[in-house]
Amino acid sequence: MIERRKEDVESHVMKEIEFVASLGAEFTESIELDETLRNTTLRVMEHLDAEAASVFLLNAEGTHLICRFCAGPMDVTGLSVPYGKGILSRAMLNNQLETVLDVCGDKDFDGNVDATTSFVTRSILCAPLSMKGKPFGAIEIINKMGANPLFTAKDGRLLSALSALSAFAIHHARMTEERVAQEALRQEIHLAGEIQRSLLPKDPDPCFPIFGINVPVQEISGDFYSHVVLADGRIAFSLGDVSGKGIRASMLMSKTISLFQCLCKTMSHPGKLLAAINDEVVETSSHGMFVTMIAGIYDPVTQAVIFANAGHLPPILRKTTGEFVNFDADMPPLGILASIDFPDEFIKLEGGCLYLYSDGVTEAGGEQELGDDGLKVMLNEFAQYPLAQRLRGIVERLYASSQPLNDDITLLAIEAIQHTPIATLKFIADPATLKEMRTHIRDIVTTAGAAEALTEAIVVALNEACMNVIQHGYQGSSQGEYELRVTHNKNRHAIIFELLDHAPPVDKSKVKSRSLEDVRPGGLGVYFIQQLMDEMAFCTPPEGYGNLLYMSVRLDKQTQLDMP
Amino acid sequence: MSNNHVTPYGKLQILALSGEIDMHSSPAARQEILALVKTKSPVAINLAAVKYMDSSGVATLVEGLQHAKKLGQGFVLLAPTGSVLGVIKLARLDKVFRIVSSVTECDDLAE
Repeated sequence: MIERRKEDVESHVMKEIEFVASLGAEFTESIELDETLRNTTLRVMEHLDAEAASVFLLNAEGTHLICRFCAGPMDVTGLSVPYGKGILSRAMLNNQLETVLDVCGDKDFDGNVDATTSFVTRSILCAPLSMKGKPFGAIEIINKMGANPLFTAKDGRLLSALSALSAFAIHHARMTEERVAQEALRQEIHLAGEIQRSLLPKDPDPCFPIFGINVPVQEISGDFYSHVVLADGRIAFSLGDVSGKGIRASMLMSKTISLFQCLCKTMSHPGKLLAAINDEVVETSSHGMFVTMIAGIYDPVTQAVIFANAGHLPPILRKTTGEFVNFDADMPPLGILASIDFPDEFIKLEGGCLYLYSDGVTEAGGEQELGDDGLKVMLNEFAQYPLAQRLRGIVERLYASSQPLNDDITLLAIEAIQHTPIATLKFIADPATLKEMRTHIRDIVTTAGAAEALTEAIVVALNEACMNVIQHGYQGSSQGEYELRVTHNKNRHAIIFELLDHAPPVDKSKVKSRSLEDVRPGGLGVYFIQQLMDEMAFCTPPEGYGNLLYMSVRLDKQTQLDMP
Repeated sequence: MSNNHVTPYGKLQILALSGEIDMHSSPAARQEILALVKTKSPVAINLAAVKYMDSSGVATLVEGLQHAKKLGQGFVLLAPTGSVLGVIKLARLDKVFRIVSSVTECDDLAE
């Protein structure tokens, strides 16, 4: 008899262990919170032979318990009860199992649900769900069914074991949900950054007199720059910095740059344009945010610049002599006071270059901030480089010396392009003309002051470019013409070559150099040009031409063509 | 008509090119080089009188080398001028070709 009872007990214990183990195995499969809660509640209710069961979780504020899942005759999902009252809270506050065999005798029992429904609660078994000793919810089993409708100590021990297991599973599912939400947010910010970058201008042709660059600290930026070619050929430009960082700053940046790009097409006075943007920003700005900004218009024909400054770092003009001209800046930023007049300032570049920059530039450099003087040293050092290369070189240097970057880096330059025409050469697109072309180019660049090795490098590069026009542009038909316009850029002491043809427009994406690791005949032309010239880019050709290949090279360039 | 000519040096056939090897002249040079390689003799291309060479000329030399290698023959560039060697180096082919300054450096191919 005793043996038999022992066997019964062992068999029962084994069943309990198997149940706990099977529930544990299910939890490892589930990473979705609702599914985990559903499994937990249903399985426990069935196993303990109860009438109803529910899982309540504490809200984010920690003020209420919300029913996340329930099973049984009444659906109370979403029911909110104040935390601190009732049997659920008691189990959580004491962080221990509560067994209430008759709710009528329990002062903490809240009969509101029963009062509004036909359900009658008789007994409750309630276990806290906690992680690292901190309860975050509870699982409640209501009304033991069967022949002996009273919860036993064994039921209590089983629920305690299951609640610990469930707490772990719920915690795991919640963490997964949070990670998924964070990833979704990260993706959203990434997309926002992409949209923001699309508001900045695309890199212009090398012959364009303005170039800007923006390196954000995060994916989204509070800095911006813009340049817009106006109907009369002048170019409106701006550079700005929104106070603060993050999403709020990026949204105000998007608004300000959009306002500029829209208003600059009709407003020819930068001061008035800034006043109009200011009034808009003041009206809608919140949290004390503001924008510092310079806006202006450049006339490439007269080299005249008209600009206005709203609280931004003043620009710097580097003259052709290497001297710097500073400007005052005493107007407030945009977004603080409405109806402000921003005065216009007029200057002539006279061959110089005007630099606009955000404080991320002068504050770069880690512990040793670059400062205004440091920036001027760098502008001198990079002065001989083509505009785009110069700004990229400066920003790369700043970026390298400022890890981790603390602020967005934004730089914009307006350069007076002083081109003096030297020669225009025209040839039939036939390989037999290449020799004559080379002879002319040798004479021209030697006269312009190029050393022997550089002369040879230029000849090699131009020969490759012209060869490509004959071979690929005209497909070797010898029917068309190619034209070489040679000019001298005084600012940079560089020679510019513009190769024009009437061939069908080339697919720029297909013009690229190949890997030299692959030893095979042909395909070296583009590589040669890129190595020997400072710049090479396809630009928009003038009316009547098919292609325009722009190449430039400094006359003091140390050529890569090794001439032993 | 080509001014280029071939002279033997033992078993080695030396093809002397001259002038400027560019897109216009390289097809003729290509024919001569490939014809010489086909004779199954080791070949040296004398570049001493070549003042200029573009990428089409370099491509011609690469093609000659590849054909010679297929036939298991020697292929040498002899005495390239500064500008020609510069272009070969720019294409990073100076280690791919065997380049010698004097024909006596390729006696191994002549024997």
